[in-house]
Amino acid sequence: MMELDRVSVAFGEALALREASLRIEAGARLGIVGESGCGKSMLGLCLMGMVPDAAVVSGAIRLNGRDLAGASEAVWRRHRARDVAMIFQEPMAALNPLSRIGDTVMEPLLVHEGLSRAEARDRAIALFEEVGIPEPAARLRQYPHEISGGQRQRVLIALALTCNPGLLVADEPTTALDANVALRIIELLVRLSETRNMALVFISHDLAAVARATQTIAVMYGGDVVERGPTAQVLSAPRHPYTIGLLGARPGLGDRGRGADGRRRRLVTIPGNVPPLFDLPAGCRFSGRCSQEIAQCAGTRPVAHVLDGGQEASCHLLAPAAPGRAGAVT
Amino acid sequence: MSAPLLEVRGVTRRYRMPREALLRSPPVLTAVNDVSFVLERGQTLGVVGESGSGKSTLARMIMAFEAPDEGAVLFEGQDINRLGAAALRQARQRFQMVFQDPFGSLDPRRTVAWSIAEPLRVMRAEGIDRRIAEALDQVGLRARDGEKYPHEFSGGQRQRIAIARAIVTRPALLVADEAVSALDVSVQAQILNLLMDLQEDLGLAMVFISHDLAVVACICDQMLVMRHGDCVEFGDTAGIVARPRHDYTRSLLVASGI
Amino acid sequence: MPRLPVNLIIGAVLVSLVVGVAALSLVWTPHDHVAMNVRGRFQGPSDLYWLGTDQLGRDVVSQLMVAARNSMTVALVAVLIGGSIGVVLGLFASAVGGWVEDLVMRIADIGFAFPALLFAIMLSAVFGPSLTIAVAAIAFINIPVFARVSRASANQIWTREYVAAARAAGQGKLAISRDHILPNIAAPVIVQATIEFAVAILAEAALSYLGLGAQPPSPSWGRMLSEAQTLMFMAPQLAIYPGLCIVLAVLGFSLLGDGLRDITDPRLSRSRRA
Ligand SMILES: Nc1ncnc2c1ncn2[C@@H]1O[C@H](COP(=O)(O)OP(=O)(O)OP(=O)(O)O)[C@@H](O)[C@H]1O
Ligand SMILES: Nc1ncnc2c1ncn2[C@@H]1O[C@H](COP(=O)(O)OP(=O)(O)OP(=O)(O)O)[C@@H](O)[C@H]1O
Ligand SMILES: [Mg+2]
Ligand SMILES: [Mg+2]
Repeated sequence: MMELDRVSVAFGEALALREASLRIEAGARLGIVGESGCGKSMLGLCLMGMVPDAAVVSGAIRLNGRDLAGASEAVWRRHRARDVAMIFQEPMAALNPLSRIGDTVMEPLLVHEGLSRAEARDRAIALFEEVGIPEPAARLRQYPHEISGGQRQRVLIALALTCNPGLLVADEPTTALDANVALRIIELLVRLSETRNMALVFISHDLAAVARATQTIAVMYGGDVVERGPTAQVLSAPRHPYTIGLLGARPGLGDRGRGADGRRRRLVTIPGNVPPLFDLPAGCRFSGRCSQEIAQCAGTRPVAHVLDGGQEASCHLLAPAAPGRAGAVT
Repeated sequence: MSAPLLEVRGVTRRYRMPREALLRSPPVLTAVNDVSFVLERGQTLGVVGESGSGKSTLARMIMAFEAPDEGAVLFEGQDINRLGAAALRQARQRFQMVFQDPFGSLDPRRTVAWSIAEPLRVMRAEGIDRRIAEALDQVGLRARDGEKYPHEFSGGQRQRIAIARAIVTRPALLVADEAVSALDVSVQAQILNLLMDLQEDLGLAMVFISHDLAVVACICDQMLVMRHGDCVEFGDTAGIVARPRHDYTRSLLVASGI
Repeated sequence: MPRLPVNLIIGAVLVSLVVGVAALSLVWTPHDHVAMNVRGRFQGPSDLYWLGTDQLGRDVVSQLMVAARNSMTVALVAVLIGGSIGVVLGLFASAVGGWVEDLVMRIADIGFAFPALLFAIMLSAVFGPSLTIAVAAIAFINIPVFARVSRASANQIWTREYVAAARAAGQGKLAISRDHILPNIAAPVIVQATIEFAVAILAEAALSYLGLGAQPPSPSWGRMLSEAQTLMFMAPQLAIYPGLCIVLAVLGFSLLGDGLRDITDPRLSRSRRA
């Protein structure tokens, strides 16, 4: 249904996204995980045609076969809300602080769906109920700063769902929600995807949520998709060193409390930081932090190697002739 | 015996909701209802609870952005709502907050370095540039990133900028409202380690608001569970995780897979 | 790239035309605008006098150009003074809040309801007519306008979390108003200033029409209009030219202000997000 074909997003010299390719079929659910600042939101914005003005986009963005990469704002606007909708990562940035949340949610219903005010109001209340906002009727008249962070996030979810989009890009939709509510939202999204054949791109750092919400997963690092495949398989048997490190950093029960020396236990991390975009290694973006680095990593970009069960990973260690196979270390 | 760093005594906060009809009196929502706790230096209190249960409201009252309708917030034994404007500004240099919404808490028209330096300028601190660079480095960003504006960062990077601003003054108390919620597990672990370092090296106390029970269980000494504005459970983290007394706590633990 | 609204483009063109001509008059006019030529009165347009001459044989183009400069200067000074005072009052009211805010805004309401012309006539009656009086009167009526706009915008900004963050940093209300509120209300204030510029040009024309503005020999569109009125049957073009100038200048600034509002108002730009 929607396809990104070698899409790059550049801020001057810096590449926020490097030739990323992605296919999303109608009704499919794809998860995207990765290090903070690795380009997940940028990928979502590409699907919406909303990359910031400062960026240069290259590659093809196809919606139902039509390339929209260079399309004008007017063309994109026709597709937004109905063909592709997005739940933005930061609710406060996406909501107009001057308008009541009810008006914000009702606007697309009035404009795109041609509903009357009363109908739009009823529908907004129904949507608020669906996403679990308490006392929906009264909330309609509140301003964004008068509701809690999680409620704002759910307003945004309701807003994205107003026009029954064909593809929903959910950028960290559950960050401000407690486990119970998050579960409920994920169930809602999965149900919508199944009953309405809605495609879902679920961007999250919450691996448990991704596991629940999606069928396939793409792991990103430094603007590259480094590993992809069926969600359960990738999360249980990761092959790319970054994915392995990421899964190892999950806080577990063993990290709890204090160590023998009375100091609090430190959590496991991947050593080092993501280098700034303008300073990324030319080859594998993860080189420099990777514990199993070999000679060609820094200079040559690894290609995607197809592994069993539809899993794919871009790592030199997985090449048939490589010295030690990366998967072996887990 | 000196007073505890922070004491919250039976605070209650009510909001008026929008009126449904012109002549009807507006309904009242009790966002926080009679919550009390004591936090000692170097300790961490985890606040968890349902979305909309009043966690951020509690944080705003601790920070004296809002006065409680009932009860009092005592910082080092002083009721912060009774302090005069100048004394309050003085005291504020010792407690900092990381807001739930990083984008909303950074002035869009100011560079990141400017925002981080703001509390330092108020304190007339020395070596501001060095301290900005250090704070940025601690949260995994570059000194050069300071010249950029908030919209040029990713969500998680902005969240780390907000953390850098809050720790740059080396406060005695940090109120962190969902401060690591937008970070992937690896960066999140780095930040949590950083906060634990600060705690041990400087005796930083934290009120750590989060919905992520796994994180709270890892780093908090005590834990407070909120629901509909009420405190339903309060006590030692290990004890609550092992033997939750309230149904709601139990359901949270189940849902977050602990 | 969002498309620019039509009113913004037309407004910008008109405004640059008027401002350009006014600026040009500082260094060059076709003729000396006060040089009289008694024999060459009421000439029609010619190569020498592009729009002809007036009842005293002065070049009309040169006069219109200098009048444009005078008019711009009056409007600029008046809007700057009135705007600054108004913005400071608005910021102050918003920062302090409570009954002080109410009091300031009620006083502003009274000022708002007070007609500028009446005020100018009153001042002129006391101090005698002069350009300074005209400027003062126009500046005065601008104060409540800006006080309102800036208070309303500032109140919005005060609810933002970055202001709370500044308070957490120990910043006082004065510093917050200066560092955070002012830069973030700049857009609506600039829009208002552009619109008020148009109002000020009109007010200046009206005052000098009544003889309360620029005094002779300094030319002004309003006075050119009133002088030409007595000669309406002899030389109607002398009334048309300054009239047209006033219309173009006022229209230009109004359209520019509207256009700027269209592109800066979040209510309209929201459609880009939803
Ligand atoms: N307007 C901009 N100008 C310059 N760089 C930008 C801009 N917007 C984003 N970036 C950079 O692009 C990179 C990718 O950003 P993106 O928002 O996609 O990250 P992300 O994967 O969503 O991270 P997070 O998990 O922290 O939200 C970041 O390193 C960011 O610094
Ligand atoms: N200014 C306000 N006016 C009216 N109601 C408010 C205001 N601020 C908060 N509330 C209400 O108070 C309740 C508690 O909000 P609060 O922000 O403290 O929740 P929270 O526990 O932080 O939730 P979340 O986890 O979603 O951030 C919510 O129902 C919210 O709608
Ligand atoms: Mg993001
Ligand atoms: Mg909150």
